[in-house]
Amino acid sequence: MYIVKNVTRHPVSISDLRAEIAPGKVEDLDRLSTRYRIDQSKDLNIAMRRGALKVLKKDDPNAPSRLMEPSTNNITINEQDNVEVIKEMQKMEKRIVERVNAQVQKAEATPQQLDPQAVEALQAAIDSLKGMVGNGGGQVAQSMDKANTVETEIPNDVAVDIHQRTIDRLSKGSTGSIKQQETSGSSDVDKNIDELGDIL
Amino acid sequence: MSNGRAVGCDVGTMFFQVAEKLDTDSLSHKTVRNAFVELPVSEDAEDVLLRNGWQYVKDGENYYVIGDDAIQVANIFPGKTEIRRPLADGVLNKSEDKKLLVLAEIINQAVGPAEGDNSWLCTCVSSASVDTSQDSVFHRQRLEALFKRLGWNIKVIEEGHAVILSERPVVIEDGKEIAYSGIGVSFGAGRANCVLAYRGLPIIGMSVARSGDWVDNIVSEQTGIPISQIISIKEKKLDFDNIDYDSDVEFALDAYYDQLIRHVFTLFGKKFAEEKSQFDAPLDIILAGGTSMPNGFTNKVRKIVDSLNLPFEINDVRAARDPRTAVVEGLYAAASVAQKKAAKE
Repeated sequence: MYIVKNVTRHPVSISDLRAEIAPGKVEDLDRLSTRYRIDQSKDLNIAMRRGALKVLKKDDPNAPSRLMEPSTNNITINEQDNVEVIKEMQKMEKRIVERVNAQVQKAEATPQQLDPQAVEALQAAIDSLKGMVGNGGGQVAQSMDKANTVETEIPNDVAVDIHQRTIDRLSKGSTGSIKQQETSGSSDVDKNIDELGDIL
Repeated sequence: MSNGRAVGCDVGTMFFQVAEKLDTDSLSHKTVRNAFVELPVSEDAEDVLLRNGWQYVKDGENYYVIGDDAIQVANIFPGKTEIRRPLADGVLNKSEDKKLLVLAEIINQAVGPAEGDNSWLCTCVSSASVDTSQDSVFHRQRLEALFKRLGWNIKVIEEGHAVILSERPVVIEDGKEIAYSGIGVSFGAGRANCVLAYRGLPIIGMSVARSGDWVDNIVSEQTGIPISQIISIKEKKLDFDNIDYDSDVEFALDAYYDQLIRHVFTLFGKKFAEEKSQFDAPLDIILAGGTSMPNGFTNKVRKIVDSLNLPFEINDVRAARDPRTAVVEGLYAAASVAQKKAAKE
């Protein structure tokens, strides 16, 4: 989470992240790009230096998810210090609830189009947000546990096919060459192959 | 089934290695440094790359320099580029969003597509971790997908097992030699892997999240010397039989290698005891991997394991014939066996 607020009366543009933050609005930069790119962003740096953007919350993206740990029971949010963050989360919660309700209404009209797993996942996310915003961390761990217990057993072949499609999509159109070191020579390992054929 | 290729491929944290037989006598090895840099987007990026003779991959508007050239580019553009790695701690780097693009390109070029319907590729993953909660199921599936998309039949084995298949340790039982029986240990960059095998079958396997990178980082932290210099001293000067104790770095490397070896074999002994394995015959320990390369490493391991109260008897501790290529050659052997078996079926 890397939440910043535009504290000016004008929109602030961070063109190298392809983002524009309206006056007074809050944005989670982690939604826009990777943390590496965000940290490298020159426009963001300039906006920060000029005081146009104020950092409300910045966590460590590599830290293990606090939501997943039992210690989340002890999460306390200092409401005075984080009022704006909490307000934003409440807004986010409202938006998600509206989206789920719209989906449910749509599904009632055409029952085949509702994905029960998606609804369950969204419900778990709402519960998590509720826990963070209003009721401390107890509910968070509970709802995350619920989300984690959803059956996810996928046969290996199916999982590999899914990964294959992801890789095809990510590497589509890339071209070029890579320097390789090549050596060749005799190796005793050849002698092992016939022997291993009888054993393995 | 028609004939095809048999390839061993070790997708390591530091190096990507391929072994394949090209003619009757020799085995070919290809090595690509498993690192890359992303060049800042600019109009003259391609010109800069071409002028310097750096090989690169273009994806959309972005340029990536992969392999050894990445180190040079990072040195020439300090602060503008950083060396990134598709793998960390022996598995796909969860913090790196370009890992699949980079690995797919390395595989396309260093391995290429399968030929015919009986081409077999054997790769390896770490054994179950005993000191972290890391799981390699996702990593394994992604690796399978990376090769399967090029038409390969895939076999995946544990990294320590590959050392056994390449180095052929033996135990003597009732005066008879039992081949492919012993402990194979691979000290890579991200993890150290151990497998105890009997008659070529893995019996006990484990990995730990400490190996070369852990040593480099902790020595750098303790001495305040940059990691690049630590690596250089480790690769060029370090000799455990002749440590210069006036050098902070050598002293620290000696101390932390000591800790690493103790950590690995203490946990392996514990795992062995938990599995209630019964091995009366003394076992050979075979050492492989880039982190095992410094001179005197084998002696150091021998001294340490002798001092530990391990639940099995050790016959000998020895280095693999070529510690750098032992794993990939074992993978090549496994791929060849799988290919021959498939041809018979």
